Amino acid sequence: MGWPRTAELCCVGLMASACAPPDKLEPMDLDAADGPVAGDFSSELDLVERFVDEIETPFLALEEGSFSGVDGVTIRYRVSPVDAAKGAVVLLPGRTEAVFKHAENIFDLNAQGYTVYAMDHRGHGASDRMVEDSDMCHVEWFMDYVDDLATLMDDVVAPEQDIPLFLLAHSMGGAVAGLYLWEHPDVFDGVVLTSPMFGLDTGAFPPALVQTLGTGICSGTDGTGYTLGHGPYDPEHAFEDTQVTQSQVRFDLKKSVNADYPELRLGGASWRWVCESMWAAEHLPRLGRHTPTRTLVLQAGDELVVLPEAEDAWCDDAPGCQLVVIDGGRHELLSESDVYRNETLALTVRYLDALVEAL
Amino acid sequence: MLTLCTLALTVGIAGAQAPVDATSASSPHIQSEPPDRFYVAGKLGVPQPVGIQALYSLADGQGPRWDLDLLLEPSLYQQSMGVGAGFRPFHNALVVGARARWLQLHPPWSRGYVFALDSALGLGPELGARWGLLSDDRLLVSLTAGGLFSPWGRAALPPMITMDLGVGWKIGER
Repeated sequence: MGWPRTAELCCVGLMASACAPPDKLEPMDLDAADGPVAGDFSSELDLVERFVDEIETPFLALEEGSFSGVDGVTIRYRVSPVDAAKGAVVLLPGRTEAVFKHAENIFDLNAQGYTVYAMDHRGHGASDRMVEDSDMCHVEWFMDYVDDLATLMDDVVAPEQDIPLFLLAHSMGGAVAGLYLWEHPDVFDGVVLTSPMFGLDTGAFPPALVQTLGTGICSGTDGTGYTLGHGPYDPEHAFEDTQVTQSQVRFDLKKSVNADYPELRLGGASWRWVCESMWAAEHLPRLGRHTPTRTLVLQAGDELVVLPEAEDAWCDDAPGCQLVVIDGGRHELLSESDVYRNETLALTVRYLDALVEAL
Repeated sequence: MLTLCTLALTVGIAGAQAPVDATSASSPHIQSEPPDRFYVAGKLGVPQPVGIQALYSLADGQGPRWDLDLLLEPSLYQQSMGVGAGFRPFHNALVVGARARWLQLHPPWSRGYVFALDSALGLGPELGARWGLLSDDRLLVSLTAGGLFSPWGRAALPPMITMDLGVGWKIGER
C-alpha cells in the first residue's frame, strides 16, 4: 500500500531538514463578489420549526446505498443529487457523527448547486458496528476508514459522476481525508477540511501518558475497553458542558435525533480507536508535503478538541493548501452558531465555485 | 517511576556500603575474578507487555560492571526489537543505561500495516536494578524504568514511559 510512495517520504524522516520547502500554489480567491452570503444558508433562528419538514423528512427520503467495506463491514451512505450540478461533494463526518447530523449542511450544499454523497464511517451512524457495544466508537485499523472511502470513490462516486469531485471532511473525517489524499492525490479536484484531526488534544492527560497507556493496552489486549474519561453515550450531556459548538439549537437537535434514532448514536472511544487515531495523527502533519491536491483548511479559532498547530504544520507543507481561521468558532464549525457556520459554508462554497471555474 | 528510581537508588546505595572486598582479612586466599554471565530472560511491562531478552553481563575484578542485551518485544500491535547497554556504577544492583529500539507501530502482517509509515527509531535512557539470586547468580531479577523518544522517525511520536519487570536464567558463564 505504501510502497509506491515510500521514496517520496525521504523528506519525512531523517532527511526532513534537508528538504526544500514546497512551492505553494497560488491561493484561490475567496472574496468573489458573487459568492454566497449568510442569508443563503439555513438559519438556527427558525431551525426547530423547519426541522421536520425541511430537514428530517427530506433526509430520510434520500437514496440510501451501501457497500461491503474492509473485512465485510457494511458501509452506508446517502446521495442527495441536484440537476445540472456544478460538482459532487463527498462529505465525511467526524467522530461520533452520523450523516444525519449533517442533513442541514447537505441541503445547503444542494442549494448551492452541488450533489452530495455522505458516508457513515464504519462503526458510525447507519454503518455496521465492529463491537457488541453499539455506543462504542471503535476501529481496528485507521486505514480501514481510508480504504472504505477508496471503495466509495471507486465503486460508487466515480462511475456515477463525470463532474468535478470534491471532498468536504470534518475532524476525524479530515484525518481520513489526509491519508486518502496521500495515497490518491489525483481523485479529487479540491478538498475542504473543517477542524481536521491532524493532532489529538489529550486534554488533562499528558500525551506521554496516553501514548504509553494506549500502546500498552493496544499491544496487550484487543483495545475494546473505553479509554480514559470515556463511556457509553450520555443522553444527559448538557450544552453547558460541550466544547464543540456554541449553538444550543443545533446541539439540542442532535440530541433529539439521537433520542429518536438511537441506532445512530455513538458515545466514547475505545482504546483501540485512540491508538489508531494517534497513529494517524503522528503521521499526518508530515504528510502534507506529499499532498498536492487543492485544499482549504478551515480552522476553529476557539479549538479545544484537536491541535491547531498540527493543522498549521500540514497546511504549511501541503503545496495546494490554504488555511483560514474562523475566529471565535469552536470545533464543529458545520454545526456551530450561524455566525460561524455561515462563514464556514460561505468560504467552502466560494472555494468550490472558484475551483469549478478554474477547471 | 519515581518510586522505582528511589528503590533502585536505595538498593544501589545500600549495596555500595558493603562492597565485595577480595583482599579483606576474612578472605586469605586471592579470589578469582567474577565470571561474565549469559542470561536469557522474559519481561512484563509497559508499553510493551511482554519481551524476551538475551543478556550478557560483563564483570571486572569487583563484580558485574556492564550489561549488554538484545530485546525482542513482540505483540499483535506495536512491537520492537532493540539493543540495550547498562552500567553498574557501584558494582551492585543499580544499573544506568540506554536502549535503542526499532519500533514497528503496526505489525507487518496486519491489515493496517503501511510500510512507509510504520517504522520508527526509538531511543531512551533507563534506570533500574538487577539482582543476581541463587548460587552463582543463577537467577537474575530486574526492575527497570525508562523513557522512549522517537525524534527521527516518520511519525511524531509522543515520548513514552517504559517500566519492566524481568526474570532471567543463567545459561552460561566464562
